[in-house]
Amino acid sequence: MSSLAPILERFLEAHSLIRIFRITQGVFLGLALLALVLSLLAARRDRTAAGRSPRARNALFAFFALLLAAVYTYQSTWQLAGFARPPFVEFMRRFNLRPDNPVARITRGRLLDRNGQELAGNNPDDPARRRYPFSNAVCHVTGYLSPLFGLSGLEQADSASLYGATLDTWDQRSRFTDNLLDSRRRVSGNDRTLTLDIRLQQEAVRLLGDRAGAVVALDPRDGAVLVLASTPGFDPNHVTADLFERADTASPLLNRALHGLYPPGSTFKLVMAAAAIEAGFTGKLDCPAGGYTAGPGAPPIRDHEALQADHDGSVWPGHGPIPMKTAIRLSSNVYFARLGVMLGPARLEQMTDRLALANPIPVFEGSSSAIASSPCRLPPPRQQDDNELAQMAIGQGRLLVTPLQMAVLTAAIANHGLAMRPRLDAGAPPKVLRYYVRRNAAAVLAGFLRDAVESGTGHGANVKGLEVAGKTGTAQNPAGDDHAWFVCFAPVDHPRLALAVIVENGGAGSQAAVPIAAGLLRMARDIGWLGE
Amino acid sequence: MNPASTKPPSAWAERRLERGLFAGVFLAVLAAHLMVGLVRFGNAPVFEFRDTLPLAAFFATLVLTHLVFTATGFRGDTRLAPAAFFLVGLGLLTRFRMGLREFEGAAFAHPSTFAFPVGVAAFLAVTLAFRNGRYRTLERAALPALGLAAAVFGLILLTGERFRGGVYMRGNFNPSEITKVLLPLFLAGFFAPRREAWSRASWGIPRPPLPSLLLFVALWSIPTALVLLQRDLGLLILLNGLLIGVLFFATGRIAYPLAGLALAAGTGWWLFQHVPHVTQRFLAWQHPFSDPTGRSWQTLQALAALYNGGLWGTGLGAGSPHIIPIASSDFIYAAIGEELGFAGTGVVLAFFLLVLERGLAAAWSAKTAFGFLLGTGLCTALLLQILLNVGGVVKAIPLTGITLPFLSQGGSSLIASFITLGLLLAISEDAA
Repeated sequence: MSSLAPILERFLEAHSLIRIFRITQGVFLGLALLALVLSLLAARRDRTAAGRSPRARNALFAFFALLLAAVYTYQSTWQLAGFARPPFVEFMRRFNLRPDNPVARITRGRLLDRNGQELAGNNPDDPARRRYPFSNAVCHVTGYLSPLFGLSGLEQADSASLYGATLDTWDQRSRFTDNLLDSRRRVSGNDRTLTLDIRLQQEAVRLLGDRAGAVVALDPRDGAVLVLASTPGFDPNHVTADLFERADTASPLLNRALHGLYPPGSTFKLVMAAAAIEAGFTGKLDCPAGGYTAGPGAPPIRDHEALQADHDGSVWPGHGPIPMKTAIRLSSNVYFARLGVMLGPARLEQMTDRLALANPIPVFEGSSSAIASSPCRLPPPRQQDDNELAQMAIGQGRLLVTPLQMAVLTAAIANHGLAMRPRLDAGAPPKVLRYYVRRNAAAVLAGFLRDAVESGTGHGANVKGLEVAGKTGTAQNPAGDDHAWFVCFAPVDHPRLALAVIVENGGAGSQAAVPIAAGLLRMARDIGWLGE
Repeated sequence: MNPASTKPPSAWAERRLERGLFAGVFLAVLAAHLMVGLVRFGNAPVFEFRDTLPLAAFFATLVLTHLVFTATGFRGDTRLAPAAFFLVGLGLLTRFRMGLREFEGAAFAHPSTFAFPVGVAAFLAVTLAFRNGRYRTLERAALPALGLAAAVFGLILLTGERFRGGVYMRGNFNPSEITKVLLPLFLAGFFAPRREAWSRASWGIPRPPLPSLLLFVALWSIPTALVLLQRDLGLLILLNGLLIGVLFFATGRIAYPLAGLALAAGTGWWLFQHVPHVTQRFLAWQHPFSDPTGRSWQTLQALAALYNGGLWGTGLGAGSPHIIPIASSDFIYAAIGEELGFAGTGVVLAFFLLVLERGLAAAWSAKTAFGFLLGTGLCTALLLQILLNVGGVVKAIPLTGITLPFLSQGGSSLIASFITLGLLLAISEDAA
C-alpha cells in the first residue's frame, strides 16, 4: 500500500488539489441526490393495508416535511444570512477560534462624506479592523468598530446595511444574494454617503482646538448636516479601555452636538422675539441702567453694559426705551426679560410646544437603529413665576438645549420659518421637521439678526463679501465660566448655511464662539458653498 | 397468463433496487471519505491502511445486510435501509474525521467504537426476529417494555451523576436512548386494543372509559415522574410528544393533540418559571448575545461553524468543527453543516425525510392496528428527535440535549436508531 503514496502525490500535484476536492464534493452530492430521486420514484409502487388511506399518509408526511422545512429555513438565516445579524458578526469577530476568520472576508461598507471622501473604511493590512482616516475629526459621527468594545455611532446605527443586509434597492438586493451564496463567504456591504463635508468638519474641530464644545452646520433648505463636530474627541482607530474607564469631566465619548445640554443664553432671545413679532408687538420697552426686577425678592436682571460699568467704576446711563431691533443688536437682557413677562407663560409655552423642544430630533434612520439628539430639558409648565419667566426669556432659566436644536432653530429662521429635518444620509429625501415661525416673522427676524452682525454683538462674524445674520449668547452656568454661543446663517437673502457654535466655559459668545463661526463661513465661501 | 409470471420473483431479483441504492450510498460515502483523505494527504502525504478501516467496515455492513436479506428471502422495504445507512455512513465518517486520533492505538477499545458493529447486529437480529408478521408478538410485551424503560430511568437516577442540571450516566453511554424504542412499543401495545373505546366522543370531546384512563395515567406517570426527577427536559418533550402522536394515530381525534399541546404549553410555562435549569436554557436561547461566552457559547460557536460553511461548506476535512464543544455527538449537525454547507445539511434532512417516508409507508402497509401504531410511533419518535436536535443546534428552539438519530456518535443513540430501523423493516414485511 505504501507504494501508492508517491503515485497519488504526483497525481495531486499535476491537478490542483482544491479542484479535485470540489469535484469529489460534487460527486458526493450528486450520488446522494440520485439515491433520493430513485427512492422517491419507486414510492408509487407502495401498497397500503386494507382500510388505510394513502392520502392520510401523504398528509402526515407533508406535515413532517413542513416541520423540517421550517427548521431548515430558520437555519438559513444564520448559515447563509448570518452577516445580516450584526451582533452575530461581532461575536464571530471577537470570539473567533478558527485559523481563518470568516469575518475577515467581509468587506464592510464605507462611510463617505458628500464628496466621496472616506470617513470609515477597511484596513487592507488587517481586514478585521476598520480604518478612520480623519481620526478624531468625525469620531462621534462615525463612531467606532472595535473587536473588544463593539460598535458606536453610525457604525452601530447603520451596521446591517454596512454588512450588506438591507434590501432597499435592486443594487442592494443583488449584493445580498451574492453575499448569501458566495462559496468563500466573501461578503460585501453597502457604502453610505453622508451629507457631511469633511473639509468644514475638520475646520470646525481645528477651530475648537483643545476647548470642549460643539459645532453644527445645516443646509437650511433641505436639512443636510454639513458639520456635526464635538470636542474633545477620541481616535476611533485606537479604542482602548482607558477611554471608558476615565472618570474626567471631558467625556470624549459624548457627542456634545447631539447630547450636550446647555442653557441657551441670549440665543433664546430669537424665540422670544419670534413670539412677540407674531403677537404683533412693535413697541419699545424701557431698559434703564438699574435693570428689571420681575418680582419681590428677585435679583434685578441687568444689561451687560451696566455690569461692565459697575466693574470699571464708571457710569452707564442705560439704553432707555428701545425697539426690538436695537434690543437684539445690543442683546439687551432687560428688554427681553420685560418682553417675556409681558408675553406671559401661555405664549411662551405655545412657542416651546411649537418648537417641540421636548422631542428628540432625528438625524439618521439607520438600518440597525436611529440616531437622534437628546430632548431639550424644559421647566415644568405653568409653574413659573414672573422671575422665572424673565430668566427663561434671556435663556437663563431651567431650560437646557442641545447645539443641534439651536442649529435647527437658526436654519428655520433662515428658511422662512420652516424647519427641515436634519439628515446625515445623503440618500434620504429632504423632509419637513416642523413649522417653527411664521414666514413674515422669520423675515423680520432675519433682518434684525443681520443688523446684529453688521453693527452689534456678532460683529466678529461680519465676513467680508458675505451677508451674515446671527446672534451671540453668553450663558451663565453653575459649572464655571460662561458658555459661549453663536448662531448664524448666510447669505441673508438666499441662505445656504446655518451654524450653531458653542464653546464650553469659553466666556463671552462674541469672544469665543463668533471667531469659530467666522472661520467656518470663510471656508464655506472659499469652497464655493455659499455661492459666488 | 404466462405461468412464469405467477411465480413470485426471487428475493435477489426483488431487491435489485436496494442493491443499486446501496451502491449509490456507498459511492457517495466513498466520495466523502476521499475528501477527508485529500485534505489529510495535502497536509502530510502519508497513506495509512488504518484510515480505510471505517469505510471498509461500512462497505462490509452494506454487503452483509444485503446478503442476509436476499438469503433469507426478506420481502420488506427495499429503500428504508439504504436511506438510513447513508446517514449512518455520514455519521461514521464525521466521527472518523473529528477524532482521527481516537482510531489509533488503545482508543480502538473505546466503547463507542463498538456501537456500530453492535448496532448492525441488533438491526439484523431485530429485523429477522420480527419479520413476516412476527412483530405482532410484541403487542404482549407492552407492559414489560414500560417496566424496562422505568428500570432504565431508575438506574440512571440511582447511579448517574449530576451535570449541567441533568442526571447523566458515567462515560459516554446513555441507556435512556433505548427508551426511545421501548416507549413507542408500550404505547402501541396499550392503545391497539383500546383504540375503539378511546375514540368515543360527544361533541368532538373524547370520553375514554374511566378505568382505562386511570390505568393509563397511573402507568404513564411512572416514566414521566422519573424523567422529571432526572430533569431531562428533552426526554420529557420527546415522551409526551410521542404520546400525543400515538393517541392521535390510534383514535383519529384531533382533540387529543390539541389538549396535549395546551397541557404542554402550561407545563412548559410552569417549568420556565420554577426550574432554574429550564430558565437558563430558555434565556440562552432567547438572548444569545447577553452571555456569549457562558451559557450561549456552544450554540453561538455552532452557528459560527454553520456560517463559516455557507452554502457549499468548506469541504469535508477542511473546516474546523472541533471548535464546537461536543461536536461529534449533540452538535454533529453543525459539524456537517460547516463542511458540507447548507446544501449538505439539506441532503441530510432529505434523507431523514426519506427514512420517515419509508417508515410511514411501512406503518400504512401493516395489517394490524398494533403494527400501524408501532410504525407511526417510531416515526414520531424519530421526527421529534430530529426536530429537537437540529432545532436546538440552529437555535430555532432551546437546547434540549437530544441526540440526532443515526448520525450522533453517542454509541447508545446509534444502537437505538438501529433497533428502530429493524422494527420498521420488520413491520414493512407484514404477511397475510
